[in-house]
Amino acid sequence: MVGLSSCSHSGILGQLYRVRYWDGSPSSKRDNQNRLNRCKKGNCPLGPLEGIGYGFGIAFQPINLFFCFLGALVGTLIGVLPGIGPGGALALLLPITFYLPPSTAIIMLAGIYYGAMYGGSTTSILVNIPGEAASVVTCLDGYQMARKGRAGPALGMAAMGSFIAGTLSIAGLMFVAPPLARFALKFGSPEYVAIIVFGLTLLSFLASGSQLKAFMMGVFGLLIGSVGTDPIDSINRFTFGSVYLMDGVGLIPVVMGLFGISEIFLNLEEEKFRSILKEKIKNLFPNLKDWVDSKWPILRGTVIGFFIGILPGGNAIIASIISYAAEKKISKYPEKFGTGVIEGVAGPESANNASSQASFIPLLSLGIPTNAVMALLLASLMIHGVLPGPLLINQNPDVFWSVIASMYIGNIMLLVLNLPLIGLWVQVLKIPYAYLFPFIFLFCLLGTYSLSNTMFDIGVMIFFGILGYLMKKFEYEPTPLILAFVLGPMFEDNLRRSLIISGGSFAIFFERPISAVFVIAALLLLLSSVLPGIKKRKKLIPPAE
Amino acid sequence: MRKGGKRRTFLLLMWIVLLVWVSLGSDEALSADYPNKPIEWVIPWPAGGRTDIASRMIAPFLEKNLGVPLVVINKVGGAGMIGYTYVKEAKPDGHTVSMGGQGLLVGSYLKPGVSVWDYTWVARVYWTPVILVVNEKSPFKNVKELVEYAKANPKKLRHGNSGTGNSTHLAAEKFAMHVGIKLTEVPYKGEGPSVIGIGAGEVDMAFGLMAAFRPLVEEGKLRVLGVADEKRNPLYPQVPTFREQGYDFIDPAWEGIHTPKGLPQNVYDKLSEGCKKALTNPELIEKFTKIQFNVSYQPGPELTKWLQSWDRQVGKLISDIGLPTEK
Repeated sequence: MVGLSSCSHSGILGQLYRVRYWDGSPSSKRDNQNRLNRCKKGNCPLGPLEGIGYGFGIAFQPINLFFCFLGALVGTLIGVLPGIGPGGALALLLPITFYLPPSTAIIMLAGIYYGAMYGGSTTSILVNIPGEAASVVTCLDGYQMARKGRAGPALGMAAMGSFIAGTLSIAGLMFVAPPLARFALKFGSPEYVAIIVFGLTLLSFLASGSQLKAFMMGVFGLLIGSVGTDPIDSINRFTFGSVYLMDGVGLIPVVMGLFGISEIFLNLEEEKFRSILKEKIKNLFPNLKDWVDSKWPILRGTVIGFFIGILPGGNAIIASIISYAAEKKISKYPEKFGTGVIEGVAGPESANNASSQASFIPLLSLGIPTNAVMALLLASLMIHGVLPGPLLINQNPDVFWSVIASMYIGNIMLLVLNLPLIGLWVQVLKIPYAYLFPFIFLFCLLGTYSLSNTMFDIGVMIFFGILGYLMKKFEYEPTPLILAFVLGPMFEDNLRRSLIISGGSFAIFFERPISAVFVIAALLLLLSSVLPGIKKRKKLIPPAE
Repeated sequence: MRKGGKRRTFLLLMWIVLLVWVSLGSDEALSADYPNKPIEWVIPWPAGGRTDIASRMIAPFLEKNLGVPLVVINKVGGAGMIGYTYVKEAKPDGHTVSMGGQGLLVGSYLKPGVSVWDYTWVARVYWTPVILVVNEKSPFKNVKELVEYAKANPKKLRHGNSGTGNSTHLAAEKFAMHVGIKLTEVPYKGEGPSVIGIGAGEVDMAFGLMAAFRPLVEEGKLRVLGVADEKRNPLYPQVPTFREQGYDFIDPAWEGIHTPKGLPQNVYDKLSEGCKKALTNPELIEKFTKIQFNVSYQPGPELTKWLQSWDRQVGKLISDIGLPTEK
């Protein structure tokens, strides 16, 4: 600790980690200049590399190693158990952390969060039920792989992808956290509108069946998203006088209903499970071809997830769905998506891990929680008297660096924890569904209730379970619905605010560089998928005389 | 034989479940030996919010004073309505406690079935003034420059807030009325996004708490123009008050501990004493100071009296602004 607070900047980072006093006045300019000069001479004790070394020193203390492992283990468990997500689990565990030192507390809570992203894919792949909301798209190809007897490679690639994406994101967090967080502040409402337009354009590549049905699901998702108090005027819409609907319909009850409960209903009538058993489980780990196929999807998923993670409002579920859509768009064989291609598992699973790690950036460097889990981590830090923000790295270097160091350790622990478990998880397929499914149902109920401690969410989940069952019967895909449901309210909120700011002019979306780039990218994307069709048609129509 | 054994274990288990259930359900709370079971501290907001953080910080201190465990539980939904109603309808035996303030008071005017007067107020926890911030690139260095510009250019300045009808919105409207200017409202979905909005510079000004703006003020993205209190705040004494700059504008965010209405007197006394001891504990005050909050304990009767006059002011403000109500 000695000497750390006196000088904590070096080289380029010294310039990036601009220090200003709290009232915004650059009164520390001279101070800062001295520090920079000293750092240029190379005698600054704490750059990122020194910082991480210092962090490892703390993270390797037995107590921190223990709680890091505990966090990873609990995270894997709640990830594996369908219905129980990191949000609910963290809220339950929050009081326990008051008795721990702040670094230890955050190390454990963070471990739970990224651990859940590892575990979430397990039930998606094995029984077509997402263990955690961000793993919904893993069901699409992961489960099909399992049906072909390739549950092992799917689970293995999900774990490896998560590991690679997680580790790369921590490196990003370590080297460029403050400048990136500042970059995120450049994203105002018009930029969000542009990004969401881009995201919704990708949505059209999600569907594998009927485009019309996918479109209908998208519109339905937008409709459900508009339930609740209007974001601008605070007027209730579609609440039918119910106070429960005023905050809108919850994402997790909808996801668990559409994907989890509906699958349980479906299994009640079909004995699908037996068909998996007939297939021999071929191998437990991905082979060389799997690796070749997954290499780029993992890297792309990492970039997509990292970018979405640093944006306030971005969350892991958006990251994984966008990654899936992008892989499908890029792929040479998009028609095969949904039949068990490994890219459909590797991409989204990497994306949700990258996103969960990246969401620490706005929290630690700007004190801004980007989602409900980050809000809980913020609360835990504040209760310990640690204030996340630009000064955290100076005021509490022990917390900042030990948490980052612990993430490297945690990711390795998770890999070590998850790879041997694959063999065990695959055995789960042998459990008769008459025993397995009541348990899954129970966990869905528990998890959904724990979100806000009201029975209403359970009702919502069952309703969407029945709806999801009917949708599966009539071959409507739920993924476009989910993406529209998540993005719709964000789109409306930001669009209306942009127009208030611009005084009603749509030019605002083209005047600002970042938003212009995304709007144009969306248009190009749209053209790229329409043009081939037009060309084909031109060939069909005989040239006019 | 083995099957019979299994059945017996099962029956035994059922009996245990039944017994535990009955013993949990049957304790008639006698006000004389209050508290005789864990106290439920209900928060109508999600875990991790400001009320939640404050509650969880107070809980261990109150727990010590009352001698029973205190369980913080988040009953979320309906913009607080679910939790408000739950507390209102709970048994007034002192085993259900909640914390609320400005939000609940504003809700009393806007939402059906909510009233601050449905509860017994036990103690005030904090009273923290709002501050006015602008983006670092803003030309305004003090409140006067901002007001003069706004007078010359009505509706040109945009103020960001954490939602229509929220305390940050009311603070801005109150200020605008007080100094006679017209602003354009830009609502955000919650405090976090509204802080980012002013940080990104897409609105010209924002009212809110230092606790919310602190990180971006530290970052140098925001400049504080004034604090709406009688005197400068000891936590950030550099910031001048509105009064010093010639505008007599005072506006707080506050929260108090409340229970269902109609507590037996001895229960009220015991709870009130416990709260007083907790909220005047230097250790707790120190903890609050660290997160930039001023604990300002006030006993129940005084708080109730202050609330009556404050209620009238807020009521008038809401009808002057013309917020849409569902009452």
